[in-house]
Amino acid sequence: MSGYIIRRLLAMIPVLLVVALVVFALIHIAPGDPAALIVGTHATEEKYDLIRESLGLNKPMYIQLGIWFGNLFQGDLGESLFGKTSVTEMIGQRIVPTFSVAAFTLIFSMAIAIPLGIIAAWKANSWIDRSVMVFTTLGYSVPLFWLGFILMWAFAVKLNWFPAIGYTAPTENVGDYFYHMVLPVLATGLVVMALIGRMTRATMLEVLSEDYIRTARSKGLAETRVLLSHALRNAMLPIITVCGISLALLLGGVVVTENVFAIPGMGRLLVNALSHRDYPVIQGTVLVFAAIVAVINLLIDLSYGLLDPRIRYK
Amino acid sequence: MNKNQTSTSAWVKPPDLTIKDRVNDLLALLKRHPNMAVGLSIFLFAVLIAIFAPVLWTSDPSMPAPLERFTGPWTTGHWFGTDNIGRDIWSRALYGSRISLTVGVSVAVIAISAGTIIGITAGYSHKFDMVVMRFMDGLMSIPSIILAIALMALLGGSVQNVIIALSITEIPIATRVVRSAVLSLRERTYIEASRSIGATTPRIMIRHILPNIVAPLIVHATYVASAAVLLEAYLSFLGAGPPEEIPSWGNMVAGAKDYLSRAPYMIIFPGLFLTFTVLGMSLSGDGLRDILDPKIKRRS
Repeated sequence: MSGYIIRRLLAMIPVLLVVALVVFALIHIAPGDPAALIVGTHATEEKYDLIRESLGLNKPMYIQLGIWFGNLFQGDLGESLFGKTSVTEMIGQRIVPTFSVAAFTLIFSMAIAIPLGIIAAWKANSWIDRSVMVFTTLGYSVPLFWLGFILMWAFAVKLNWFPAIGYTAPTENVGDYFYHMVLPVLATGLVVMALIGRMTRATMLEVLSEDYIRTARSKGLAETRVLLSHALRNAMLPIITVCGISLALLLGGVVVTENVFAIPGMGRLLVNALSHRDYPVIQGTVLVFAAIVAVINLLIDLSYGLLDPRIRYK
Repeated sequence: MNKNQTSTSAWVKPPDLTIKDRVNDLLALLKRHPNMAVGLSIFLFAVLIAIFAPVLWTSDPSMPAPLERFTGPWTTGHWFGTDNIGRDIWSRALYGSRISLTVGVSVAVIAISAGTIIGITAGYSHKFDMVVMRFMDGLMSIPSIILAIALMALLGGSVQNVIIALSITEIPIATRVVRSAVLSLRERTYIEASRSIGATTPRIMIRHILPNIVAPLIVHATYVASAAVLLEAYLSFLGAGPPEEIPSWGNMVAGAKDYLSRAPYMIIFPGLFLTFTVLGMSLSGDGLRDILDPKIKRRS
C-alpha cells in the first residue's frame, strides 16, 4: 500500500509540472506584449519598464522559466502587481471561504443525490425515477449564477430568511458562518447533484441486475439490506469516482458563486485580478486550483483500497 | 431501416423514397426518442429566434432610452420590460441568442475538429501520444471556467476570443474521447485485414477509423456546444466575456445584479432563454446518443 501511495505521488508530479508550464506559458503565448497590455496606452515609459521588470519579462525566456520553477518549489508564487503583496499570502487568506463552500456543497450534494439515485434505480421507470431524471437533466441546464440570483431574490430579498451576500469567518461567529453558506451551497449544488445522482442511478441499475442480488433477495433478505449492503457497497466505487470528477466542475462553480454572493474567496480574487490584469495573481490562483484538483483525485484513488478490498495496490 | 426495402441483394435497386416516406421515417424516429424530439424542437426554435431576431418586434438592443428606465414587463412595446438604462429586454434577449449560438456551434466545430486530428494521431503514434496526452492531462486538471478566465485575461474581451478560449478548454476532452475510441478500434480484425492488404496508416486512419468514430463525435459535439453556451454566459457574467454593450445573456444578468430587488425581471428573462437553449442542446445530445449507439441499452 505505501509503495502504491509513493508511486501515485510520483505520477502526480508530471501533471503538476505540466500545469505549472501551462500557467507559465499563459503569459508568454499571448499575442502582443503583456506589459504593454497591463499599463495601457497612456502610460509613461518608466511605468512600462517597471512592469516589464516586475514580471521578469526583460530576461531571456529560459531564465524566466528557471526562476518560475525555482520560486514555485519554495512556495513562492510571486507578487501582485498592485500593492506588492505576496500572491501566496493573498491566496492563503482566501482559501478558507472557497474551501468551505466547496466542502459543504460536496457533502450536501452527495447527501441528497446518492439516496435519490438509489431510489430512482430501485423504482426504475416509476414516477419517482422519471422525476429524478427530469431533475438531473434540468440541473445540467440551469445556469449557476442565475439560480443563485433567483435564490437570493426569493430567500433573502423577499422572505428575508438568509443573508443575501457576504461571509463571516467561523472564528468570528459560527452561526453566522453557516447562515451565509446556505444559499451559495444550494446554488452550487444543483449541477453537482445532477451529475452524482445520474451516476448513482446508472451504477445501481447495473448492480441490481446482477445474479448475487437475485440470490440475496431469494434467500429472503430485507430489501433495505439488499440495497444498502449488497448493492450500494458494490456501486460505491464508481460513485466515489464521479464525486472526484465533479470536483473540477464544483470548483469552477464556486468561482462563479463567490462572485454572485460576494464571498471573499479565491474565485473573487481571480476575477478581481482579471479586471486589472494582475497576471501573477491569475497565475497563482489557477495553479492552486489545479493542484487542489490533482491532490483530491489522488486521495480518491487511494480510497479505492479502503472501499474495495479486492483492489490490491500492485 | 426502410420498410419498403424487400431485398438486401446488392443488385436490386432499392425503391426510391418519396419525401412523404422520409418524413414518416423521421417522425417515427422522433416518436421513439422523445428526448430528441423535445431537444431538437427547442434548439431549432432558438436558431429561428437568432435568425429572425430583427423582424420579431425588436428594436435596437443597444439603444438606451433614459425616459423609459425600469419599465415593468408585459407593457406594450416592452413585453419583457426595460433595463436600468431603458434598453428593451425582449430585443436584448432575442439578439442574445445570436451570441450564444455562435459561440456554442463554433466551439463545438473547432474543438471537435482539433480533437479529432490530435486524438487520431495520438492513437497511432506512441511518441506523440506520450507528449501530447501529458499536456492534455495538465490542461484538464484546471477547471474549465478557471482556465477560460485566465485565457480571457490574456486575449481580451471579444466574441472571437471567447470562442478561442473555450475551444482551448474543450479540446483536451474531445481529444480523450477520440483517442480512446481509436485505441479500441485499431485492434479490430477489419483494421488488421486492411493493413494486411497493404493499406497505409493515413489511409486506415481516414477511411476506416474516422467513419467509425463519427457517431460518438456527433454526440460529444452537442455536449461541447451546450457546455460552451453556459461557459460563455459565465464568462460574460464575470466580466471576462464580450464587452458589456454586446447583448449576451451573461452580460444581461451581470448588468441586472445590482437591481435585484427593484427589477427581478431583468434577471429572469435572459436566464430562462439560457436554460432552455442549454436544455435543448443536452436533450438532443441524449437523444442522439440513444439513436446512434444502440449498444447502450435504453433502460427507461
